[in-house]
Amino acid sequence: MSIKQLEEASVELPKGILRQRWYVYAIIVVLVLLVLVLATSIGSVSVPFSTTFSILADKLPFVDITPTWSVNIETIIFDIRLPRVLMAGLVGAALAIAGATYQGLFRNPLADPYLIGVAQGASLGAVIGFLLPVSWNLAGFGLIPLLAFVGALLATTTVYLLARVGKALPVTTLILAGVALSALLSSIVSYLVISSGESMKAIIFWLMGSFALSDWSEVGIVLPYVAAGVVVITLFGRMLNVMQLDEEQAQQLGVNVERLKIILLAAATLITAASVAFVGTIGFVGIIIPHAVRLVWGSDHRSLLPLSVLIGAIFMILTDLIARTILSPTEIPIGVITAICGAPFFLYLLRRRKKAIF
Amino acid sequence: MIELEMQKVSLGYNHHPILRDMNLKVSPGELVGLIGPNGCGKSTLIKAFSHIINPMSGRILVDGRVISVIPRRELARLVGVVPQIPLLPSTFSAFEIVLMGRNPHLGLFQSEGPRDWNLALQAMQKTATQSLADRRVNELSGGEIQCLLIARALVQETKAILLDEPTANLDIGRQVEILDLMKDLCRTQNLTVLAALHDLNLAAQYCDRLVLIHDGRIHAEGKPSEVITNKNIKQVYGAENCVYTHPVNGLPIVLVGAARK
Amino acid sequence: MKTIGAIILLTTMILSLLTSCTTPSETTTPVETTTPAETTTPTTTPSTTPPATTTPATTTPATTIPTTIEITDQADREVTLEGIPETIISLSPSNTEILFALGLGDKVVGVTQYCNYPEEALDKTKIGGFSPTDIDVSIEQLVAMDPDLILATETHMTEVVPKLEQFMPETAIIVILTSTESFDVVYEAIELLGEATDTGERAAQIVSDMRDRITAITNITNTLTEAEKPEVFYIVWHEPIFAIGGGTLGNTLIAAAGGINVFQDTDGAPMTDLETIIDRNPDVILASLGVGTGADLSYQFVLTDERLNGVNARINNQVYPVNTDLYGRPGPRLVEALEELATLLHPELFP
Repeated sequence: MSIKQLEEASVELPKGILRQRWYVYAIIVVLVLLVLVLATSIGSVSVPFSTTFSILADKLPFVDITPTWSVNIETIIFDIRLPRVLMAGLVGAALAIAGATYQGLFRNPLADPYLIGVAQGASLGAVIGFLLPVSWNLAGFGLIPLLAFVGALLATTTVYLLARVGKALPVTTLILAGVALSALLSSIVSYLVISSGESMKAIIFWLMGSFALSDWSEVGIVLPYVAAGVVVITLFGRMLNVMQLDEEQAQQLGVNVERLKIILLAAATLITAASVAFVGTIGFVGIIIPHAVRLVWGSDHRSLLPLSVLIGAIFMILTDLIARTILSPTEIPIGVITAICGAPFFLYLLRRRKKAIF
Repeated sequence: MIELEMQKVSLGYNHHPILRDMNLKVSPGELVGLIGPNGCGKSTLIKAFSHIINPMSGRILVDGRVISVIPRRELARLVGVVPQIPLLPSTFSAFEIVLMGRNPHLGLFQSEGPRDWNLALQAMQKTATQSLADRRVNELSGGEIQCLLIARALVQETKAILLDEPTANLDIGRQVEILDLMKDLCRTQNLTVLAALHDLNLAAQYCDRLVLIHDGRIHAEGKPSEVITNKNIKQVYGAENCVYTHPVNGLPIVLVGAARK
Repeated sequence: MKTIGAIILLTTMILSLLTSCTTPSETTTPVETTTPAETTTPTTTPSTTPPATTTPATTTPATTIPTTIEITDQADREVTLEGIPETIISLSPSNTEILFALGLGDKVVGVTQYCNYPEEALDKTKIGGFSPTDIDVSIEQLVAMDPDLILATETHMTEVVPKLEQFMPETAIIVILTSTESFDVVYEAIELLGEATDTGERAAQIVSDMRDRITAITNITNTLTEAEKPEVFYIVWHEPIFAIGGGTLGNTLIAAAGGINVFQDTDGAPMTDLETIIDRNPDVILASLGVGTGADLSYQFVLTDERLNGVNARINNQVYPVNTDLYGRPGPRLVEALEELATLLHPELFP
């Protein structure tokens, strides 16, 4: 029977059936594009909006506009601002969906993408990269992002190995091991930062997170990771729903819990590591965006996950815009902005809708 | 139609066996009751049959196959479980929780469709829970939750159902309803049902066979009148002189408070 | 499996601790862009006549060997030296350079870990660091060494100098300004130190030499019109981008060498971004070498980053690395920096 038939039989349709209509997604996607264009039009050098629009339009296939702008302006819009904005969108999306995944897997509202050591591992790798007396470039992949990425993966692998019990990966052990390792690595990082001498300013700036140096090559590297990770994770949306029951019930309902944990953890960790490797650790996004999405649209992971991607992207693009324009051309570290903007907004949402989100 | 079997199985946690030398068979169309004192291992047995724990020794067979080689999703289409004290997140409505029972039948990309919704609604009607469809689980009573879980097991469309104390929180009307339902499923659909029950009277009235567990072993097995005897009850529960005969159908009933000379 | 995890953990810890042991001084590659200019040979005996100085120093009218010297240092502190200092410790690389230039190398007993010029300085005992974020000087060590004279800077004024005054009342402490933009302040510092150490003649020679060489250049560059002066962008670091702004030695050097600093409107070392650089379109880009761990990352960045392709400096291949030690230290080598910069900016005027 279809919904229509059920309705005609005046069976009262429970709300669980009505997931997000397609137009919700369409509207939000359009919003993402708008925000993208907006952010590309604004920067420390003022460029008229029409010029930005023309430059971007000109790049589209089948569109050809005779340039009325200088090459340098085009460089600013297309080679500096656009990749930066795209990177912000990618990272925002990645962190948001990784956060939602961790929260779903651990069944814990406080889980964030850095729970099992990604942030601290990446920070340690990056700081070591700063302190090593070598400069390196491997096919556009600089030394620091490479070490950060490797550090992140090593840290999570260590946590995984420490937490594993036989073939199972108990969730509590994972959290404990993650917190312990993060604390340890964080103290090492602090020590290294203090003794870093002249590099200290640069290191601290990196640690606080910034999209300042994002260029097309970085976008090109991060995009496949994030895209692959997002696709894999969203496939398991319904399974994540079932995982919200305890693990025993999930197994009895046919979910291979251990395998699911590994797949989702790996995917979420990979996209987080890829993001952090290039832009540093930006906090707050991974926790707050999934919760905000839940407050408005509910906890069904089949909508929570894709919506987190979109809303995360919008959020990050906007906060990056604020970070680089308020004190232009000085930049405020983006972590500061995400916290300042995010916290009150979330409290407001919480007050308005008091329904249970977890 | 499938058979559940245990051959020389011992079960336990952390190398500490709780049950030893279990030889047990549940056949299609049978409603078998597991009875015994608190902590005797009924839940453990049910966990073993749903492959939540592995046997320390011996073999567990589902439909003639060793349980450990059956992929989880397939096992979930064969055996459904109604757990005792489950964790239910309050972010989903009752209907959505019941709908999760369709999981083993859905592929990775699939979402539930009209047929699944229909099954869920029907299952809720059978368990008298359809009015709770939009409510959150934290608003429901223990009994309502239990009925929901039974609905979920029904929706799972399995050949066997394991129930862990399904009537513990129910009023007498519901108890009868649920057990009538289970009995009916055994008769009409040849389901294989194994239920852990604490209420000896219900067990005697509804079960085709009873398995009495005591001290980690099967103390007695057979028809209710063979298992629920004064001797057994005294040996296992320590309660004396409680077993009487039902005036109408001759099955044993257990009454407390009257001393018989 | 747990042991593997623990081993990885341990290895990470050890590796990171080892990395922290690399000190910047070991890794800085000293880049000599020009050969050190000829300086006059140092006098061997201290002169008996009191040095003739112009500015704030008050000299005691001594006839033979001065017993007490009274100085007002560059922080307006009155300092009294009981006799010629025989043991001197310097708390900043620029002061170390001045000391050695004055021929006092043998008397220098302690320097910072960043003091790398001249070569002899590398052999001296290290007493701490010096950089805007690292004023960790080992007070204990200073007390133990008990020198006659300590040269500090204004960055030490808040914490270090008061402690030194408290724990080492016998030691003379002279404060020299290091963040200055004016050559005059540098001349003053040299003369001041000359007076304090009874090397006044030598000091005067150095100063006059510097003046001569600098004027030789500014005489020419002062006649240039705005249009003839290239616009210069001096980058200090690239992640994030920091430029040299107004009110700095770098800025003064650029101006004296006949250039215009595109960031002179902001004082200090302002943070900026790629867009602004492209917008201001400098004709010449100078990139600091020797900052951080000695790598030339900032130079590579401005030299190769594709987004800067449209900037004049890149089109005309006018991107040059410069030695921060040379361009940033208020000492005698500023002249070399200026001469080098003048040649870079106006090769036809200063071959």
